[in-house]
Amino acid sequence: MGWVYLGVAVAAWAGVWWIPTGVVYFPVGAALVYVGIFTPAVLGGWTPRSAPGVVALWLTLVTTLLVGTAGVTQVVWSTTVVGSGWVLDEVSTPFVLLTVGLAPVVVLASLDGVRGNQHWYYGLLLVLLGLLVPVFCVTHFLVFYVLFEVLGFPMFLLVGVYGPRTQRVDAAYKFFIYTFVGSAAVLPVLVYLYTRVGTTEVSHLVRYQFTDLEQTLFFGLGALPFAVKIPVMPVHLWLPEAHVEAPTPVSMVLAALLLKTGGYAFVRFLVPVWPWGAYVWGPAATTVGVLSVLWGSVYALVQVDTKRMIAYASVAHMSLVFVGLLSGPAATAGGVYLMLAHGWISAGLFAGIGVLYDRYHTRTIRYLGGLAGVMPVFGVLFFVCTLGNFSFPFTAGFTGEFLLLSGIAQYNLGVALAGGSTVLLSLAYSVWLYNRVFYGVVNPTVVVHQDLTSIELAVLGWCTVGVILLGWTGGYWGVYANYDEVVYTTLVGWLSCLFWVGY
Amino acid sequence: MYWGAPHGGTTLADFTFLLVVATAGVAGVVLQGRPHGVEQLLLGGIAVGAGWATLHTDHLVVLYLNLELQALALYTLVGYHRHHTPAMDAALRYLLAGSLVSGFTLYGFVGVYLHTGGFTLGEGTPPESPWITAMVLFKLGAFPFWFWTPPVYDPLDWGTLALVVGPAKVNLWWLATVGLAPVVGTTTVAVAAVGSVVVGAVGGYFQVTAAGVLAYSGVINAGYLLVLTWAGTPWGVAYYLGVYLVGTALVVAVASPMVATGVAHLSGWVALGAATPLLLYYGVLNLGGLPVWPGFFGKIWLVTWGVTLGWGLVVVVVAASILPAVYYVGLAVAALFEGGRPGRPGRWSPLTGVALTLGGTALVASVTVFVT
Repeated sequence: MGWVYLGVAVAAWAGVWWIPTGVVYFPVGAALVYVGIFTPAVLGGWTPRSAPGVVALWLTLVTTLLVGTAGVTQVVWSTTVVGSGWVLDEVSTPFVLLTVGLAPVVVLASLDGVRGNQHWYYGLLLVLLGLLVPVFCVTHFLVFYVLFEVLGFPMFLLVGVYGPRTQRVDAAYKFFIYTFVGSAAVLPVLVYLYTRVGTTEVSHLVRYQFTDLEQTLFFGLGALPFAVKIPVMPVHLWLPEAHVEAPTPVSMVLAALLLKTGGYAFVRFLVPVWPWGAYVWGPAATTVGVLSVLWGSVYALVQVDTKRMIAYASVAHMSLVFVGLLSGPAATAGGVYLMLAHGWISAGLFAGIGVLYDRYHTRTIRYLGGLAGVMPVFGVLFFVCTLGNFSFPFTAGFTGEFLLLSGIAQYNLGVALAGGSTVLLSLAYSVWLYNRVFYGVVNPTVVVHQDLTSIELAVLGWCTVGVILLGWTGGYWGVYANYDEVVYTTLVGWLSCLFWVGY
Repeated sequence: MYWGAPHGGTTLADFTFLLVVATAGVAGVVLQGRPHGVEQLLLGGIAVGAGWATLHTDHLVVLYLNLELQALALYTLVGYHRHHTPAMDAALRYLLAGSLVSGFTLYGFVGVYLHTGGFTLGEGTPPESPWITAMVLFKLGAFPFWFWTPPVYDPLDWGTLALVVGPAKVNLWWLATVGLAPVVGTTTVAVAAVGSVVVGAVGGYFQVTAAGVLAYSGVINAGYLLVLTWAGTPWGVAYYLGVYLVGTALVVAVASPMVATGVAHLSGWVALGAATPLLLYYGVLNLGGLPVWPGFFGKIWLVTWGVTLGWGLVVVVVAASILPAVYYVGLAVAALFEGGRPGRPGRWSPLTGVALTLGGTALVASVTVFVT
């Protein structure tokens, strides 16, 4: 398999496999290939052990190279790849690269974590990851809505079937209800667009002359499902439950990728199509966003479960992104960057928490302590992700929040100061968490003294490289307004994964 | 016969096609391994045959006789297991209520005859008849006559349940939309539509048996179909009816090999999660009108046509569709999540394969219709 992979890699870099628009279909196609291979075999009585995970990993690595090549090529040549209803431009490319960059990480993290019914698990996971690429490329609002909804179905099963505790059923239910109730609000809007406007394609919608009332109404209704997905208080309650009850790799996908679909909807559809609606709803939405930032941060501060703490941290960071997306183009660019940064940071943090749970079967902070002495490598990598979480300079979080807050400040200084309080609060809970878990006397419950395995090292190392390089070169991005470096930093992360996987 | 009144066919052909497909699906359920004797097949055939006759007649007497024949066959089918007390109770309820409605039918048809002077539908301009409207709403299980459906559906075996919710309703929707449309009250239909949607949404939430869920699923979908009837779109009714029948047939087809009867408590659906998890999930999401299944396209068309009646109605319909999706997913939760994780590979019975084919075909057809 290694030689096959090498051959594909060489061909990809040679440009032979660059498929302009087919790249959006390739990840889903790979998922269907996986399902097509394993389903008949399993129904025939075969009970695979490690084959599903290995095959899934190779599929995601190939997908990363092929889709990533198209994305990088688009960036280098500054082209916008347009197909029938698909686009790979400066808005969608970063998210596509984030998706394909994280896909192998997630599968890698699953290799040791998932034991039973692996074929269904990897099938659902690959379908979920495969659908995320077209979500970030589609230009039809109706198709985006359909794909946005469909993403919830494999996630519902992944949380409800593969979660470690019995509370997973309630968490899956809550995830479904919040998502579906929010989505129902946008259905009449889509029908109106389809029947009155005649299309839901964004380039036509942007040119259509909506009345002020229509803009206000449609933005308000359209914002609801995506605000649930981001999530913003008070419709955020599904996220902590889903994160806590989901297996580690699923939490990584949820935090790093699924939440970004909500933000992407604002950038691609809602704000460009209904700018007057964004202006009218801006004050109220910004207020809710700022309150959500503070609420998420304060709630994170009082948590005793590590995973729930990071979940509320995600609420705070994504709520800040939400505020930025409503605060002009500069803040929007910062919000996009922070979403990319949050993708790598949260993936790394959840992976680290997964390592703790696998070792000690607890996520409660009081039962952990002194791990830096027994797991030094893990301590370093988790520390880097923690730095990113509270936006320490030269991590991805710093670049993202700096750009975002400076963009918001151009719009309203008070909002920037209020939202910027999350920097202090995130510092508080992040340092508190790290201090309690890694420093001090080794807790008596810590009986396993084993540092990271090779797979865990690959996962955390990959995320850490992404966090650092996205932060270092982000400085250039901020100064030179050239987002090519965004791609290159992620690219280095992929190359590092080759080393770890080979190792 | 072929599918597609907008593409050169006729609505009657579409309804006839639906009847054939639904009957074939029911036959599959009945024959899949638990036949209950020739009489059951015969009675089912009589009910379907009488329904067919009502599709192709415009004579009031012939129509009345065939409606009664269909009803008598269904009463007998419901009470087929005469040693089973709940079944006899359900049959008696059905018979008593149906007999009352039979009187309404006769009274309404006599009123039409007195007004027009003839027994042929289409002669003259008869006024709207509350009696005929009540008959139609009762037989469809719509508001305010939905009360008989849950207690009657509960004790039924899967084959009879599939017949009652499927083919036995096709001809009735034809009558409501086209055949008896001139005499069915528009205002009453409107009230019944909204009421059925609300009752079906709320009532289904409290059900704990599969038959109960399917009964209220029938009520809320009757509400959606009445909205389309109110909007005056016969082809829309045929399309949405097809989507609903496929969705219900899929769930019945998947559940019937594994669960003994429709009265089984939802907790007994754990076995389904192990056997055919994804197929059940598909059927449930389809019934809930979630993307990207045919039920979603049905809902899109429902909202599109419902817009002609006002955006307020659209808001009510969309809001009321949220609760059913929750209890439909409850079926999936009962089957997939409760009682531990699935531990053995799926089992594909021939009927399951037929259901999959039917569902896949419906999906392709829906996408094609939507795109074109």
